[in-house]
Amino acid sequence: MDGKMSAGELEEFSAELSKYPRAEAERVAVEKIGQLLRGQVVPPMRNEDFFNEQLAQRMRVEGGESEGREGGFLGVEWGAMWRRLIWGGVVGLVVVSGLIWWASREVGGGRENGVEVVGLWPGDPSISASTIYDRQGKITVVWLEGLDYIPPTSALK
Amino acid sequence: MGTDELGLEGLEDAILVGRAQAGETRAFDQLVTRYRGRAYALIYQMTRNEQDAWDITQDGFLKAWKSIGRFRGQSAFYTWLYRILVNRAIDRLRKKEEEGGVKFDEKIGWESVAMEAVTVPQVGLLPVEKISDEELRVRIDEAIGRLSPEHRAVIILREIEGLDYAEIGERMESSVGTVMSRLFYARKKLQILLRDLYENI
Repeated sequence: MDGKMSAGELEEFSAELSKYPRAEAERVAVEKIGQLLRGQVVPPMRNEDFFNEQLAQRMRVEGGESEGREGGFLGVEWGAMWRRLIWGGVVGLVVVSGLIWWASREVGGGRENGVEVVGLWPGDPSISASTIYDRQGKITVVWLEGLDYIPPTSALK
Repeated sequence: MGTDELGLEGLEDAILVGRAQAGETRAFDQLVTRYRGRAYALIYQMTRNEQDAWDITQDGFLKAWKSIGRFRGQSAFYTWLYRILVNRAIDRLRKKEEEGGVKFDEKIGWESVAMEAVTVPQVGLLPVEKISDEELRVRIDEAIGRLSPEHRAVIILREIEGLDYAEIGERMESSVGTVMSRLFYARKKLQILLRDLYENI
């Protein structure tokens, strides 16, 4: 009945079905319900072009980063993905190199002796640490100020 | 977007999908133009409301755009889109129910169905020809409105879209047994609610 029978099978089935009034009534009812539903006219979509425009706008705003588009079954986005990875790697390397250079300069690279004062806690400017270093003597002294005490686990050995 | 000037109109779905996966929005726009009418009609049949049908169709296409990278081409594009749309519609209808807007009948009033009755025209019932199209539409809207979203989807895919059980199962990610069971219940419910109309067709 649902499109799976050949014409011959359907004829045979219908003839057999007519012997059973309840089943035949069911078949007729099913057909009529379908007929009623199919007879309903769906109002056509209005402003079809606006539908596309609205969708395009939403795609720009909400759908810019689509989920997994890089893995498309045609694989066309692999090149773009690799370019992004390489570019990201180069930029990352430059940033890390810059940070390493900056950190080593702060410790006193290039200077023989000196003093660095670092504010430890922005909430209280009275808490600070000073490092006094002597490159020739290979000595660095850390001087902490503004602390009531140092927890034993953090104390210098 | 003027996709016709770009020569996209004649391209097969698979080509357009491939281009859309590469990020070409105009190719996706062409797919939207191709299927928006059918998609809207399908969702309208389920929701019986133009605004809901518009919104859900929009959401469905947006979801399709967002996840088109995961579409592997194992089924036709429209089959895949169908699944998204039907699921969106079911979710939206369920949400409406949770918000208290509607209440679906999950059970059939068996007591009101005379299963053994032979279908014959009854005297005193409204013949379908004698009621206006508008009244008929309202009656059918009400009847469909009382079906659960899953039951609506199944009966619409079967009776209006003409899909077989396996195709419905594929689109709804359900087994054929579930489809048959839902279809049976949906038909029974409509028989109860629309009996005065269909018996006089």
